Amino acid sequence: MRAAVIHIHHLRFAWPRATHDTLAIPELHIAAGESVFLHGPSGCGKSTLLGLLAGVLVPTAGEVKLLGRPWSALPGAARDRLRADHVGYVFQQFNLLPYLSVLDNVTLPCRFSARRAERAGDVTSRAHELLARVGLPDALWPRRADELSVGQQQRAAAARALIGRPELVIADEPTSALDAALRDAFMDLLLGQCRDSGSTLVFVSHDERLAAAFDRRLSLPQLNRALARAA
Amino acid sequence: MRTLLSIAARSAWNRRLTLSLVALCIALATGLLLTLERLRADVRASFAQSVSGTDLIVGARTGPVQLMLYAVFRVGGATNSITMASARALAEHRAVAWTVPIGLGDSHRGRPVLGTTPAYFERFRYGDRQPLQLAEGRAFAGTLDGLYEAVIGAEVARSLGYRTGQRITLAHGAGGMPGSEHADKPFTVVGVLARTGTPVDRTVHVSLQALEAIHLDWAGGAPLPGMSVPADQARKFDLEPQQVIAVLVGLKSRAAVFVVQRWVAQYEAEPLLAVLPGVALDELWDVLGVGERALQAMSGLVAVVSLASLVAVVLAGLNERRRELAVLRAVGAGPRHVLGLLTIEALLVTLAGSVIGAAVSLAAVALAGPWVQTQFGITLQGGAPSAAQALLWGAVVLAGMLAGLIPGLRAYRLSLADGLSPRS
Repeated sequence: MRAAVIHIHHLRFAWPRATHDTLAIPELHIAAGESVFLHGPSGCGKSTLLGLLAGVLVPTAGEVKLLGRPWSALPGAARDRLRADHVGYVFQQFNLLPYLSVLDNVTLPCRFSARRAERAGDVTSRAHELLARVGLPDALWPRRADELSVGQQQRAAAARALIGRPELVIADEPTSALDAALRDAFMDLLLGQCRDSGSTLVFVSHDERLAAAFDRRLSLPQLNRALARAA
Repeated sequence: MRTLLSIAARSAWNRRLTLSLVALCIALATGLLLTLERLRADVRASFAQSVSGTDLIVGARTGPVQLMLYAVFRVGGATNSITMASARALAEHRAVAWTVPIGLGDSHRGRPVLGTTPAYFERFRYGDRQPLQLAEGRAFAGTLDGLYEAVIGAEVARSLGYRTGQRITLAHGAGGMPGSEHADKPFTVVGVLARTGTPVDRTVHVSLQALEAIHLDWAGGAPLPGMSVPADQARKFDLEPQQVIAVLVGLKSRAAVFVVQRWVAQYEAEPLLAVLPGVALDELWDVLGVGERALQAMSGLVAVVSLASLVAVVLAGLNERRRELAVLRAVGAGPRHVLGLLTIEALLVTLAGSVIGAAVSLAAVALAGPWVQTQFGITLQGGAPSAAQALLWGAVVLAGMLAGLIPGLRAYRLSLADGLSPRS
């Protein structure tokens, strides 16, 4: 068995002032290089789980470990550094800072993480390479990010998540703003790039038709004991 | 840090329209603060320099401030006078080097007329003990032949367009009343003084004897009915003044100043008052200082309002920027980076505003300086900012940075609560 990139152990999470838990997951391993499709209806706690995986949220009880390190054992600044070093993140939309160029958006993680910059090598040429690979013509690279179409922005976001080969790429419904043709192209691209760089991919969607291409498929309602108890 | 700075700068540039309005507010406030400070310091300096080299000013027993007002600033009615006998006794005091008596009460087209002796032009000092200088002509002679001669200040000459040779008539009191002109005894301007930036510039100087002459046929502030002394005839009368308003006193040694002051206070023939000009000027300034402080408070308030608008604008924009903050968090920025970002933004806006404000203030002082000099006789110091100005500027920038902490801390809390998914 390959080493776990993510290891969840007796996780419980409740939002402040909430009367019951939002998440309760006894055990979950996600191996290095694995691609995981996580699905569930909206409101089932998907975004909360992603927040916990990325170390932005801290469990109420139990542990979430990234590469063997429990997020909750680290002080805030160290969590930010760990996330910058090892996690790439793609949002549903509005991924880019509108006032930066496309290229600057892609290299942004390397500005917050020396490790990502180091692993990328020559950051600018690596960003060029990734942008070319996600199919953005070089005429667009120096343009302001908000001049791009939604599909182009999502592709630039994928390039950003992949730069510096982070161990974990998290994608939170990245295709929901795309039409069918763009969606399929984007899926191929993301999966292919993660495979090439050996990154673990956790992909969240409520669209189960996309699940076939992944190594593993997880249903959050099934994983989550808190929901079962609440129901 | 460089990353944050460049992101903050570009993010701010992206919202440049709103932020430049805020920067404009701050520029206005800074400009106001700095210009006012310059004006205050320079008005005070030129005020403090209205008279120098005079050790004591002696007059009837009123208040020191009142005595200064009419003896130095030639404003307000000089209601009490002292006898010439007292003035002579003072002049004969062994510690006294010189005395210059002055009389007041008449005016020429709103400018005060000062009666004095030719010694005035030698003894009077202003600024850093600078003597009066004639730009044109000469001092009045002080003789009977030169009875109707006048020497005018630079501002009188400029505003009325007078040169030497100009014939002028004096008016009784502040003038303006019909029949109050001493039209029968016109004066000739024989000299124009160089600009001093003091009340001397607004003054028409004549001899004390001339003031006696024009009032020969007057009593109680009105011409005596049925009595008229022609200008030439006046020379036959005794024109030695009986009373003067005040006496400027120079001592042989400054050390004697309190001895003479006490001697004056204990003078028995009539109640007298001797003031030290420097001390009295400070007192007078304290009276005027209320207005000065009100102005300072006002411009301080403008600064507070402009910083409040900075906080309001940045706070209002925060909700729309929660996405931006989440993106930054996702690429590895911590809440402290978010706090830094917002604070840097406020600092950048404040810096831009205050630099513009300071530049405008310096330029305004440099450009308006000559005009202020001619209009108000105040010499504005152009060039490098004063220490007080630098301090005020620093205070504005610091306050701007502190104000930036308010939206910064709010963003910090938001980004902790939001994580990567802003809930609005």
